[in-house]
Amino acid sequence: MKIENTKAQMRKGVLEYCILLFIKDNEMYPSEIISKLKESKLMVVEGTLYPLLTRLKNAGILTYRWEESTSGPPRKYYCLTPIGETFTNELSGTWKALEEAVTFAQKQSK
Amino acid sequence: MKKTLTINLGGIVFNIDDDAFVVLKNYLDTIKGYFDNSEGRDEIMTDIESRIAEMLTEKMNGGKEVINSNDISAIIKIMGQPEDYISDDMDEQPRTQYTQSSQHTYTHANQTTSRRLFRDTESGNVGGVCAGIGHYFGVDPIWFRMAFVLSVLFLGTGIFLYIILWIIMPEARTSAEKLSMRGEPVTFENIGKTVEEEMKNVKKKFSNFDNEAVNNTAHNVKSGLNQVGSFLVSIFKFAFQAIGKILGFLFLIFGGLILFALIVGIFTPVDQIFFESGSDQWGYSLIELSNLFFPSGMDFWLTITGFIMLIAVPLIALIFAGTTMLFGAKPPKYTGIALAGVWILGIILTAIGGLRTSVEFSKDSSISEVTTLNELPSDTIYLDILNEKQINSSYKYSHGNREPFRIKDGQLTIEDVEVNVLETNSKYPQLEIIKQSRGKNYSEADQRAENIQFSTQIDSNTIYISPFFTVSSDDKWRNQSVQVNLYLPTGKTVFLPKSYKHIIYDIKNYHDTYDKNMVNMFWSMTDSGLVSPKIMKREKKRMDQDANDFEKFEINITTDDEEHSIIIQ
Repeated sequence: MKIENTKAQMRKGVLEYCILLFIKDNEMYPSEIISKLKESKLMVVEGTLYPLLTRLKNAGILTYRWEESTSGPPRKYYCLTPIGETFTNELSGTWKALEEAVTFAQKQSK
Repeated sequence: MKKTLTINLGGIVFNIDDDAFVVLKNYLDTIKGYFDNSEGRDEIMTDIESRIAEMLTEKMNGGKEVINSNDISAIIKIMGQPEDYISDDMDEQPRTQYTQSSQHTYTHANQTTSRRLFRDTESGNVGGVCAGIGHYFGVDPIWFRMAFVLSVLFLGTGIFLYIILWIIMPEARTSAEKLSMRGEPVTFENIGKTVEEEMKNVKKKFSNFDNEAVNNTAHNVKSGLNQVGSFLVSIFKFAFQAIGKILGFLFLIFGGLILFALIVGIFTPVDQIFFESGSDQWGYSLIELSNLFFPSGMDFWLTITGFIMLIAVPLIALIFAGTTMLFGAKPPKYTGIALAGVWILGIILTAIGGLRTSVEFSKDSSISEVTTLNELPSDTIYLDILNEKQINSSYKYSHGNREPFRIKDGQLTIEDVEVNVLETNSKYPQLEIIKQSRGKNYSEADQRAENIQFSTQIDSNTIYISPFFTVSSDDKWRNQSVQVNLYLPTGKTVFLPKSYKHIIYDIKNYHDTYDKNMVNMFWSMTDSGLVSPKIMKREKKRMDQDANDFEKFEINITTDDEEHSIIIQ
C-alpha cells in the first residue's frame, strides 16, 4: 500500500464534506468553490472538481441553476437538495466522531 | 508564421495556434477517455470546457488575439494533468487500461492517435517520401532510400515509383499531421491494448444480439431485411467505387504516359524529322523545316506553344480526374479555371500563329514564258528528262518516289513539275513554262515565282525537261510549282518516254487514255485531238476481230514495251 493512496483516500472523503459545507450556506459556482478549496489547500488543480460535482449531482445531493456570465460561458450555481442537507448533517456527525477518534488516537500515540 | 484555427469552446469562439490546438485537443481527449458515459462524461466535459473557455476569455480581455501553447500550458497547470483526474477522483477500482498511460505525461498521450502515411518534407532529402515511409514503419529511412536508389538501376523503376508515391502521399503540414505521421510506436503493450478493445467491442455486440433475440420476431425480420438491404447497397457502392478506381487508374496511367511522352518530346532536342521514301531516308532539323514554313521564328514558337497547350491541358485534366477518382484527393481550388484559361490561351496562340502563316499563302501568282519552236528538223518532237549532269545538280530524279522536298546547301528542291500537251492554231509548236507561287501579296508571290530555278533544253528535235525545280531556302516553301505546256499544231507528233510516267498530268486525248498508259508512245495532233497511232491500230484490229469471228477470244496483254496477243481458238 502506497502512502500516496492513503492520502488520496483521506483527502477525498474530506473534500466532499468541505464542498457540501461551502454550498450549504450560499449557492456557489465552481470557480468560487475552487478558490475556497485552494485557500484551504484541499485542492491543487481545478479539473478534478468537475467530475466530483457531477457525481454529487447525479446522486441527488446537489442541484444547480444556470446564470449568465459577463466574462465567458453561463455559470452553474450549485446548491444542496433536501437530501443533500440531510446527507451533510449526517456527514457532520460522522466527522465529529472521526475527529474525536483521531484526537484520541493522536493523544494515545504521544 | 503559424497557422491559426478557429474553435468553439463552451459556446465561445477562439482563435488558436495550430500547435496549441493540438495540445488542447489531446488534453481534452485524454480526460474524456478516463470517464465512462454512465458517469456523466458529456456533462463533465462540458463543465471543463466551459471553465477553460472562461479562463481563456480572461486572457483574451488583455488584448490578445490568438491563443498560443503557453496559454494552454498555463490552463493545464490550473486544471491539472490528466493523471490528477484519476488519482484524485472516484476510482475505487483503478482502471488498468489508463494507469499505463497515466505514467506518461499528457503530451505523450497524443501518440494514441493512429498512425498515418505522410511525406516528411522536413527530414526528407527529395520529397520526404522515404522519411515518411520510415516513420510509418518505425524504421530508419536510410533503408528505403537505399532500396529506391538500387531500384533505379532496374530500368529506373525507382524514379517512377518515387514520383507516384510523391503524388499520392500528402505532405505533413500541420502539427497534427506531423504527430499522426509519427504515430504511436508499435509495442506489445499497444497491441495488447488494441486487442483488448476489440474484444470489448465484440462482447458488446454479442450482448446486443442476445437482447435482440429476445425481442419479437417482427422486429427481427425487419432488421434482417434492413441488413440485407444495406448489404446490397454496400455491394453496389463497392462495385461503383471499384469501377471508379479502375477508371481513375486508367485515366492516370493514360494521361500520365502521354504527358510524359509530350514533355520528353519537347525537352529532347528534336534533331531530325524523317521522311521515308523507298529504301532511302532523309532527315531534316525541326528548325530547318519551320524556317521553310513559318514566316518568322516567332510564328513558329507561337504555334508550337499554343499547340502543346492544346494537347497538354486535356491530359492534365485527365490526370486530375484520375487522382480524384483513385485517391479522392480533390485538385487544388481554381485548377479547372486555370486549365481552361491555359487551353483558351493555347487556342489563341495557335490561331494567331496559324493565321499569320496562312496569310503568307493568301495570294497566288504565276509567270509564263513561251518559246516558239520554229527550228525543229522534223515534225516529230521527242520529250525527255533533263538529267542531272546537264544541269550540274547533285539531285537525282526519284522517278515518282516523291519525297515532299529536299533541302541542301540553302536550296530547296521540289519535284512538282507537270507537263501537258495541248493543241494550238499557230504554225509552230510552242513551249510554255508557267512558274507559280503563293505569297502574302501579289508582288511577293511574283518575286517568288520568278526566283524559281527551272531548266529546259532543246537539242535538235528533243526537248529535255527537268523533273524538278529549286528555290532558295530564304524564299521559303510557298506551294511553288512549275507547269510545262507543249502546244502542238495539227499534224505534229510528240513522243512521250517512259520516264514521263509521273510528270505528265491529265493530258486530254482522243482515246481517253490515262496518263500512266500514255507513255512510251507517239501521239499525233489531229483535228479531233491527240491520237496514238498504236492504240488506233490496236482498236481497229479488235473491231475487225469482233466482226469476223465471235468464236475467237483474244486476250491482250500490254506491257510497257510490247503488246502480246494470245488468240484462243
